[in-house]
Amino acid sequence: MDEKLTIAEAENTYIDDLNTLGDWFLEYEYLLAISADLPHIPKEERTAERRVKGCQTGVWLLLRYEDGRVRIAADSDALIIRGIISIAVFLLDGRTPREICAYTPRYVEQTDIKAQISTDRFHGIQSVIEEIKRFAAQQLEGGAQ
Amino acid sequence: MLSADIIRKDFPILDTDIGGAPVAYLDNAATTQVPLPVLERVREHYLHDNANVHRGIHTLSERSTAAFEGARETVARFLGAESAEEIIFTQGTTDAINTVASGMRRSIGRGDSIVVTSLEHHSNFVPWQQLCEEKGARFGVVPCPAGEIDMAALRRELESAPKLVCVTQVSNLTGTVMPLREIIECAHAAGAAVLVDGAQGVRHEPVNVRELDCDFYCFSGHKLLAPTGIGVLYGKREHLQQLTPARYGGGMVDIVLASGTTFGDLPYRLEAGTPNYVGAVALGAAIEYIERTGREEISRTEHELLSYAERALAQIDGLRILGSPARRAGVISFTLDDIHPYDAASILDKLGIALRSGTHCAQPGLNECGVEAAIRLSPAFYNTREEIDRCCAAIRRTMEMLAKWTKS
Repeated sequence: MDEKLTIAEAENTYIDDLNTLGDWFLEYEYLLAISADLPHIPKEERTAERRVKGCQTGVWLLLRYEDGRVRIAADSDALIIRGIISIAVFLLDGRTPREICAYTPRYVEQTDIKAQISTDRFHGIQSVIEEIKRFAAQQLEGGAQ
Repeated sequence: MLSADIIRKDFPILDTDIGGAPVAYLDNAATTQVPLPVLERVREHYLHDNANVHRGIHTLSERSTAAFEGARETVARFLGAESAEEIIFTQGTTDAINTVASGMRRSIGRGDSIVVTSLEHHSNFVPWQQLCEEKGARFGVVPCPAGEIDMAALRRELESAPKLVCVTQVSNLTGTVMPLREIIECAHAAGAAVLVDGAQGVRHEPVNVRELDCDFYCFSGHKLLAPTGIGVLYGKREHLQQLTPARYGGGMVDIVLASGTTFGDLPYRLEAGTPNYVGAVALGAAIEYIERTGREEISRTEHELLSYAERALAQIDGLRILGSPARRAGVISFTLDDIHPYDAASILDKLGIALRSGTHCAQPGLNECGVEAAIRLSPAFYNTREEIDRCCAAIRRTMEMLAKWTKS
C-alpha cells in the first residue's frame, strides 16, 4: 500500500477497479486475486473469541495496537469473503485509531459487491469493519491519537 | 414420470431469469414453490370468504370457519389421523416441536430422559436439549455414522426408559430415510413415546400416522407447496391432552374468571389467538393439488430425480457425497475438495443454479461427517434431468474457476 494515499484515496482505487470490470466473473476473479495477498491466520490461532459474530462463514480477526497504529490480521475459509475483507485490511491496517474512527466504508455499497453477496454476508462484512472501528475507538479512549 | 412441461406451468417462478438462463431451483428442502391453484385459493379466500374464525355468527365468519375446519379435515385425511381433533395448526415444524417441548415442561424432571439422533435438524435437537438442561433430565443422542442410525446405540439409550424419542423421517442433511417402524416399535416396547419430524419426509415418503403408530408427527406447509407460516402438529389424542398449552389467549379457553380459567377442548386448547386460518386453507389447497397430481407419482418422480442426481454427482472428480444411507430421499449433500461451500454456491448462483450452502441447521450431523459446511441439492417433482445436468456442468465450471486460487 502506498502510505501517501489516504484511506479514502486508496478505497477509490478499489472502487474504480471493481466498477470498470462490469462482469461478475471478473469481479470474483479480482476478489480471489486480492485474497491471495492476505496472509493466513494459522488454524491454531483461529480461536472462538477471535471469530467475528454475525458472520455465517467463519471469519477471524486479530487486532493489535502497536507504535500508534492499529495492526489487523483477518482470515476466512471462504475465498470470496477473504477477498472482500482483504480490502478492509489493506485499507485500514497500519492506520492510526483516529483515521480508522473517521472511516465510513464505501467499497461494498458503491460497487457490485453488495449485489454479489447475500444480505446475511453483507451484515457479516459490516460486523468486521465495525469491530475494527470499535477497537480503534477503544484505543482513542485510552488516550491514543 | 410426471410431465414437467405441464407441471411447470403451475409454477411461473421457475421461469425466473438468472444470468441469462431460467433458474434451476434445486433448493426444495429449504422451501418449495407455491403453485398457481394454491395462490388462487388464498386470493379467493380474501376476496370472498374472509373473516375471523370461530368468532362470529355472521355469514363471512361461518364461511371462513368452514374453510379453516375443512382444511383440518383435509390434513387429517392426508396423514391418516383418527380425527381432525388430532390436528393442531402451528406456524411450522419448529413451532410444532416447541409446542410439544413446552407442553412437557411440567411432566419432565430429574431422572427422566429424552432421546434424539445426531441427524436431527436443530429444531428437533435444541428444544429437547434445552428442556433437559432446564429440568435436569438426561439428553441422549444416538449416533448416525455414515448417515445411518446406530440401532444398537438406540437400544442402549432405551434401557433408561426415556419419556420421548425424537427422530426425523428424512434427514435434511444426508437424505437418510430413517427406519421409523423399527425405531417406533423399539421405543414403544421401552415405554417411550415417539415424535417424528416429518418436515423433509412428508413430500417424499408415504405417511400414515396410524399405521406408523407414531405419537406425534410434525411438518411445515412451506415444504409442501403451501405458503410460509403454517404447519401441523399431529398427536394421538391422549398425548395431546397431556400437553400444557405453550401459549394462552383467546380461542383456547372455556370460562375465564378472576379466580381461575378452564380451557377448551382439542384442538383449540393448543391454538391460542387468531390462527393462521388463511395459511391453513392454503395448506389444504396444496394437499388437494398434490392429491390431484398424484401423491405416489410425485414421490416416484422425486426419487427418480434424486437417484439421477446422485449418479451424476458421483461422476465429478473431487466431489464427496455425505453419508451412504441404505435409503435416501429428498436431499443429497456434498463437499468439493479444497473449496468452501460458500464460494461454490456463490458462483453457482451466478450460473443460475440455486443450491443451499452452509450448515443446514444440522451441525451435529455435519460434525459426524467430519465437515463444517456442505452444499445441498434437493429436487422437487417440477425439476428436470436437464436442470440437474446444468447443475453438474456448473459445478465443474466452478471447480475449474476456483482451482487456481485454492491451496492443496
